[in-house]
Formats: sequence, structure tokens, C-alpha cells
Amino acid sequence: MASVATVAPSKASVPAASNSQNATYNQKDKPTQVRLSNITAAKAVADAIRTSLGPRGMDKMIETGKKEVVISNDGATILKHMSVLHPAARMLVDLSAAQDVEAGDGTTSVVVLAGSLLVAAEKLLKKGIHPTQVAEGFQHAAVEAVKILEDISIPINLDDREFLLKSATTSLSSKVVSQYSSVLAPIVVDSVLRIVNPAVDTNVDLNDIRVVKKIGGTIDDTELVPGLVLNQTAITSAGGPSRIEKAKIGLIQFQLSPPKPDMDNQIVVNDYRQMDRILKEERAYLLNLVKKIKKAGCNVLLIQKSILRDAVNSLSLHFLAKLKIMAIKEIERDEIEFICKATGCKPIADVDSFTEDKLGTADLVEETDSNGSRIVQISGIKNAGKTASIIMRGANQYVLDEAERSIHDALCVIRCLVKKRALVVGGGAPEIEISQRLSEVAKTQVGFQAICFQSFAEAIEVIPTTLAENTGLSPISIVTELRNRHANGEKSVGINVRKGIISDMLKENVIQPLLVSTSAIELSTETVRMLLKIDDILASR
Amino acid sequence: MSTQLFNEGATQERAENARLSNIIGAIAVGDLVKSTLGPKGMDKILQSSTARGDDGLIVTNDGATILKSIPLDNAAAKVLVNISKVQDDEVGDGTTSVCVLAAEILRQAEQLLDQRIHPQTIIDGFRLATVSAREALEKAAVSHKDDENQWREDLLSIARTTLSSKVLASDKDKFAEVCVNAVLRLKGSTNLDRIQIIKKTGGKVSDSYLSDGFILNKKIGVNQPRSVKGARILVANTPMDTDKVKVFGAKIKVSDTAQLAELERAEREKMRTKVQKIAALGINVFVNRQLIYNWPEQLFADAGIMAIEHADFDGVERLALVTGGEIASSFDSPELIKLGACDGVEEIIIGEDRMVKFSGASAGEACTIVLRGGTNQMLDEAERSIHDAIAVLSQTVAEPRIVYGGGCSEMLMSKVVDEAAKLVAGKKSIAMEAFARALRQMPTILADNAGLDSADLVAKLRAAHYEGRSTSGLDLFQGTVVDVSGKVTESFKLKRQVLLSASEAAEMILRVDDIIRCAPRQRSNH
Repeated sequence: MASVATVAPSKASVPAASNSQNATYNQKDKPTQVRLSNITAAKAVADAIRTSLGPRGMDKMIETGKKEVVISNDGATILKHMSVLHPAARMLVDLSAAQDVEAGDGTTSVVVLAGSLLVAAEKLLKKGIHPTQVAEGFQHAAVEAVKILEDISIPINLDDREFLLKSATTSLSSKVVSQYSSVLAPIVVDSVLRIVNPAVDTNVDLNDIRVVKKIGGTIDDTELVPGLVLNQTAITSAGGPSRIEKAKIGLIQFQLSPPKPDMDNQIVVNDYRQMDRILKEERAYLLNLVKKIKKAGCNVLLIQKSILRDAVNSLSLHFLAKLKIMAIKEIERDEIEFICKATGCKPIADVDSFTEDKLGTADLVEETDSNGSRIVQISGIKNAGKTASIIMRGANQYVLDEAERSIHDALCVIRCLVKKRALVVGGGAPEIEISQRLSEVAKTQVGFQAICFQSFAEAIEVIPTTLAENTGLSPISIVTELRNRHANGEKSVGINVRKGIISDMLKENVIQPLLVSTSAIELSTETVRMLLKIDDILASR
Repeated sequence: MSTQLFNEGATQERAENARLSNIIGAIAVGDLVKSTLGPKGMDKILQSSTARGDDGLIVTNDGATILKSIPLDNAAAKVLVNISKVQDDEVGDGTTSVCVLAAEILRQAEQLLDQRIHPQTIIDGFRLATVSAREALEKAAVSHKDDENQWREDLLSIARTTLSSKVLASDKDKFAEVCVNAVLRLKGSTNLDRIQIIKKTGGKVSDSYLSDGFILNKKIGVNQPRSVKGARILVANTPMDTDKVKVFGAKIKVSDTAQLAELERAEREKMRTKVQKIAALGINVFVNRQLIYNWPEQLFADAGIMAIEHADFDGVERLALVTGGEIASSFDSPELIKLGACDGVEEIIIGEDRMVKFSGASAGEACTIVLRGGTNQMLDEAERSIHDAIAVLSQTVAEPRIVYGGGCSEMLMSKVVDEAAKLVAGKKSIAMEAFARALRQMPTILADNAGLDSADLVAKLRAAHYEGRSTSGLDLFQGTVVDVSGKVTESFKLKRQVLLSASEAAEMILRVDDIIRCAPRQRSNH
């Protein structure tokens, strides 16, 4: 006790210069430790997924806590499944998720970029620059970088299908499904173009695109289906039809099974004859329901799933089959909206309101059986809403899952183009350009900001460097050559990963939306700034 | 030979020991949060030991949040946590300052105790010092409420000062604008419930915006109108599956299926009448706290009414508040139901999610701040910052006087206290001088956090004040002493509250000379 009592006052004594500075110096020790530990942890995360960047990037296999295996090349997916403990590392995981939400693609780049910025920040901190100054410098540099990107971007028109195809191909080329990009890219572009009105829309609701995954066949067999595809199959156990032409589709939210009120109930049976009567009544009840459905002219029935009672029982199925009504059950409640939009039908919650105007009409509803799996396809829909369905096929679950993620990324790329109609080239070209121009800007400035700009400019070269490394090229010779050619005014020169040379990316058709690049820079800088400002980790309740 | 006075396990600390353990505890808490002070203050990660995943991770700069979250086992430390909480409730910001000032006062008191000055004498001195500091602060406070432009400029400046120490510092101009607009809509009310904050990951912080009206994070039912003009809104909390008999074990006995079918029909009919009753109120938007099931949803769709289900307690309460309606749960007497109204209800997309926006609400004060940002931590921290700024602004609207920040007010008070001390005879004057030193510690910490030479700067600042430039403060970005009037503004109420709470808390802790700690209650199961 006594020792503390004597030490404390000396620490706080009147601001006698040497003494108090000493004390503050000692206090600065712990924050530095914390900051370094944060940076190290975050760098470790970035390094872990660094090898997944680019078309020649490798995949990662992750065994989740539930012993499921995930194989992926998508940064957001890998990080989501990695059980990361360190709080700073978790922030990078969130960063990748945020890029996923915002742009849908570039989830690996954003983390790699953040890692590289942290390395740069670490060096600056060691020089004795105050962390908030580094944070500020990076912020200004990021704003400048975005301006440069916007400056070198190429505005596009959504009617230009070629450009859209090229950008979708670039996104797909770094995925497992890269060899199928010629099949998938048109599907992606067409499905987005189906649901947007290029003239007015500035956003795409990807919920309007439905992806149905089926094992069997190869990814080549993936197709964009006009109309609607249901994962559920027609119930044919009672001999019901599985193909209906000139279909009238009803979507019901009630059940074709014996009544069951919400009150607790009990049927008291006194003797044998009564039992017989109950069975008969049940029959009559169900027949009545089915007849009403038939009367409205419905011949395809979609039945919403219910947790309280059976959607159908064998008796009602029998009646439906007799009346040649195709029945599909287990429709989820959150699918209802999509189905309504796609088929133009309205959900019917009670048999008494089962009227013809609530039905949707289609030329053909058919259960098809291909490559060992069955799906129901509704085609030739009248008054169809703006929706699209994609049937994906693949040899096994892992390929399918990864292909779905790739398609999602590509869809997001197109969505980015709808949001912000401009493109930049890929292959590390814009990063080199930013780096060079930022260095120029840095030279016009004085003080800490100049150093921060310079560091930022160097840090952003991590993208072409990593791209070259992953391709098996010498990063030093590639990056220096890129710098050289960019300095000579060849702004769209980048790494041609397939051929392993440097060439004009615009001619190679390697392009990506501007939004992906700008959001990667903005988000990673934001996270780095936040990490730099942290000086302590406390255990809370 | 001591007699056992307390139960087993209870401990007692006395006189000097008690005082020391209190002071050390309080100083430790002060030191913990003092690095977060000011525009160059640092953040802290709070890692929860219990909650997993993102819930357990908080990155923050807000003193109240930090102190609230860490488990402490020191009575005096808890007192500081408490005053920071009170500061949060009262003014909303300055939660760190109040803690740090209290700790600094205690640090000075500790030295006085070492010099064998009686705690009561110290307290007397501190009281005199507080009174003169307060007077000085009141004298320095200015109000520009009459001049509209200047007034708005002041509010913006206060918002910028508050935000500059937070995560939103880089976009502080934008957010200052947002906060001031939001607060001015309140027209003097301090009920912050009318300002709603919605957080959505994705986008960048500068994509955030202020939206007039109220946004509900829910979906509109299938097949119902997506936008309604001139909405008449019924906010309800009522079951929309079936009206059940709420007697436990109520059961129906029937003898055949037909009766069961009839029963089911009756249930449906009951629901239909309920919907008809609701529709008869002449509404076109129905918002329910509970789920709306398929059947009533369809009925509402048929009636052309927009129905929103599962809007949460918070949602319906705010909605009732902003639309001027009342939450209804029975519909038998329509004359008792008060409907809400607004100009338009429509579906909007924020990020990837669809939401429902109520614009032009009859209680025109309502507005929503939509926050976007990279990570959840970022958003949470941004929300806390916005909350602080709004709280301070709304308090300033009520009490329009302002003072200057950047260490200016503290130095001003310190100077006045120092001068007052010269007129007081006896040991009390030593205590007053100590109090003045504690006040000077605030600009010192600000400078330290910015990595500047605090000793040099604070001495310069003091000289400036003694030379009569009483609006001098620190510019922490340039590391110089400048005239801060009109640049770094703070609410008078906030500063006064910081001063009073901190000195009160310090006094309370100083008075203690005995800590009795009861034995923790024995738990049998482990």
C-alpha cells in the first residue's frame, strides 16, 4: 500500500516537464502492444485467404463444427466458416461480409487490401506517427483513390449486353466454375435483365431471382428457365397427374385434411357405428373441399406447408387424382411471395374464397425428370411478373454449393453495374494506376499526410503482387513492369493471368464494376481506421 | 485480541487503508477511460466472456459503455461508474470527462492527505472551489438563441465537437448536419424516442442519411398495396390467428367430424368478423404487434388494406407515438379507438432489405436516421455516437447557453479557482489550489492523447488565459493554442454537470473512512 501511495503522487505531480513526459511514455507502452497484437491478428486472417485471390487462386477446404465440409474460393464464405477468436480478426471477417452485402464480389480483395494497409500502418506507427494521424491520412488517401478510380472508369449502358457478359465472366473466372463461364455468364446477365427495367431501376432485388439446385448432370446443364421452377415434386402416390397443359394454378394456404380447430378437442366415440359415420363424414368433408377447388377450374394446386396439421392425406390425394388435379405440397411461407409474383396467382387462405380470379394461368406445368432428379417446371405463364429462375446442376453437393456462390457473386456484379453504371478493368491495372497517381499527389503535400499517402499507394499494390504470386509469376518483375508501362500512359495494362504475361486488359475483356473496386477501398480503409484507433482490449461481462 | 464482530467472510478496511483503496480504485478507473478522451482519443475493444460471436464484441469510445461493461470489484470505482451512467441519462455525453475529472480530483486529494490535511478540510476547500468554478462557468456561458443563424451554427458546432471524438469524426460535418436537423424537428422536446436509428451493414458510413418519417423494418403482406397515400393507420396488439378461450385446459368434446368442421368454420367466421370490424374503422393500413396469419392476411388483402405483422413492442409503440394513434387491442367500441395518420406509407429498399416507410406523420417531429457502415461494430459505435450527439443537442435546445471546449472552460475555471484561493485563509486554500490543478489536468490529458507535448501546451494555454484571452483553447490537430470561440463549442449544461457530478463524487469518496464488505451469499449448487 505504502509504495503505491508514494508512487502515485510523483506520477501526477505538477507538470514538471521531464517527469510527466516519462510517465506518459510508460503509459503508452500498453496501447502499443494492444495495437500490434490487433494488427498481427488481422494480418494473419488476410494472409490465410491471400492465396485465394484471382483466377489462379486456390480453394480452401473447411471442416465446420458440425463436421460438414465446405470447399470454397469465396473470401466471405471462407471467413464465415473459419472460427476466428481474436476480436480484431473478427472485424476483418465482418469486413468481408460487408463487401459481400454491398458489392457481392471482391470479398477476398477487400481483406487482402485491409491486411496490406495494416502492414503499412504498422511501419508508420514504428516511425512514431500518432495512430489517429495515420488513420486520417489513410482516410484522405482513400477518398483520393476513389476519385482516381472514377476518373479511369468507363461508363456503360445496360443495353450493351457484351460488356455485361464480360464483367460476369471476369467474376466467374476466379471460381471453381471458371471453365463454365461461357455457359453461366449469359444466364446471369439474362436473368438480371429480365427483372430490371434498364431505363429506371437503380437497384436489383436479387430475391426475384430464384436458384434451384439439383444434384446430377454437370454444371453445363445449368439453365435459365422461362417461368417458374419448383424444388418440390408433384405428389403422384395416389395416381395424380404430373403434366398439365393449359394449367390453372391455385396457391392454397389451407389444408386438405380433416378439420382441426385451434381449441383442444376430442371426438368421443360411443359405439362402432359412430366410428363408421365419422369416417364417412370425413370423406364427405374432403370431397366437398376438392369439389370446390375443381369448380373454380383449378387443375394445379400448390399447398403451403403447415406445422399444425398435414397438408394432404391419402384420401384427399385420391380425390385430387380422380379429378385430375396436380398437387404439390410443402411450399414454404417465404416462397409464397415469389410464386405469386412469378405466376400471377393470389394465395387463398380459405376454401370459400377459392375463386377463379385468384388463379394463375400457364401453358404447361410439368414434372420433368432429368439426370436423376425431378423438378416441376411451370412455363408459358400469362401475366408473369418480373422474376427469373435458374436450375443449377452439378455432380455433387460441394460443386453445387460453390457454383451457387459463384452465380450469386456474378449476379451481384451485374447488380453493381445497375447501381453504378461504370466499369474498370481488372487484372491489377486500376490498383497500379491508383498507386502511381497517389504517389504523385503525395509529392505535392507536406507533413504526415504525405507519408501516409505514399504508404497507402504502396500498400494498394498488394493486389497485383498477390495476383502475380498466385499465378506463379515473379511479383517483382511483373509489378515493376506494370509500373513502368502505366507511367508511360498505358492505363489499362494488367496481368493476363491465363497467359502469364502483361497485356491490355480491355482487349482481354477482363473488366469489373466500378462499385466493387470503390467499395473495397472504402470499406477496407474504414476497418483499418477503426483498428488503428483501438488502444485496449478489456474483458467485459 | 480482537472480537469477531462480523459474520464469517466479511471484511473491514479502516481509516487510511479504506481511503487509499477507494482513491486508488477511482484513479484506476479514471486512467482506464482517460485515453478515450478528446478528438484524438482511442477506442477500446470490449470482449465479452459470456456472449459469443458478434454480440460479444464491442468497439467503443464511449465512457459510459466501457464502464458499464467491465466487471469491477471496488466500491469507489463503482461510484464512478454510477456517475458516468447518470451523466449518460442526464446529458448523454461527457461520460468519460466526468469520470476522469473525478479521478483527477481524487488524485490531488491523495497528495493533500499525505500532507496530513484532514479530509473534511479538503472537502470544504473543494466545495468553495466548485462554487467559484461554477460561477466562472456561468459567467463565461453565452447564448445565441435569438439569432437564428448563429444559433444553428452553435448547434452544428456542438454536434461537431461531440462527434469529433467518436468514430464518425471523418464525416462529422455530415453527421452534425443530420443530428441538428433531427433535433430541430423535435421543436424543443427532449423525447428522443421520436428519432429512430436504423442500422444496416453494407455501404459506407457516409451513405447514412436522415429520412423524414418513420421506418419499420418489416414486410407488407402478400398481395396488398405496396404504397398508400393519405394513410389512416390502426396500430394494434391483438392475436390474428384465432381468439382463444384463455382458460387452461379448455377443451371441446364433439361426437363427429362434421361438428369439428363446423367448429373450424366458426373460428374462421370469428376472425372474419374481427377483420370486418377493423376494416369498418375506415383504415387502410393495419399494423399488428403479433403475427397475422394467412386467412386474415387474405381478408385484409381483399379489403385493400395494407397489413404489417409482427412489428414488435418497440415498433408499435414508436409507430403509435409518431402517427398519433393509440395501440388498440379490442375493436368492439370503435369510438374509443384513436387512429394514427400520415401522408404516405410505402415500401423501400435499404441495402438488401425491404422496409416500410411512414412519411409525413401527423406528429411531424418524427424522423429516422439510417446508418450504414462496414461492420456491426462500426454501426453500433456510430449509433452510440449519434445518440450522444442528439442527446446533447436536445439538452442544448432546452438550455441554450454554450461554453467553449478544447480545454478552454477548464482552464478558465482553474484560473478563477486559483484566484479565489488567494483570498481564502487557512488550509482550505491549499485544497482549492489542488482543485484548480485537477481541472488543468483535463487539457493535459487531451494533449497527451493527441501525442503532443502536454506540459508545454498547457503552460502556454494557462499563460494565454492569464493574459486575458479567455477564449483560448487547444487545437489538437495543429498542436497550438488558438482562440476556440465559434470553433469548439460545448453545451453549458454538459460542462456544469461534469463539474458538479465529479466534485460530488470525489467528495463522497473522500468522506469514507471505513469499508465493510459483506460475505458473498453462499450458493449451494456450486
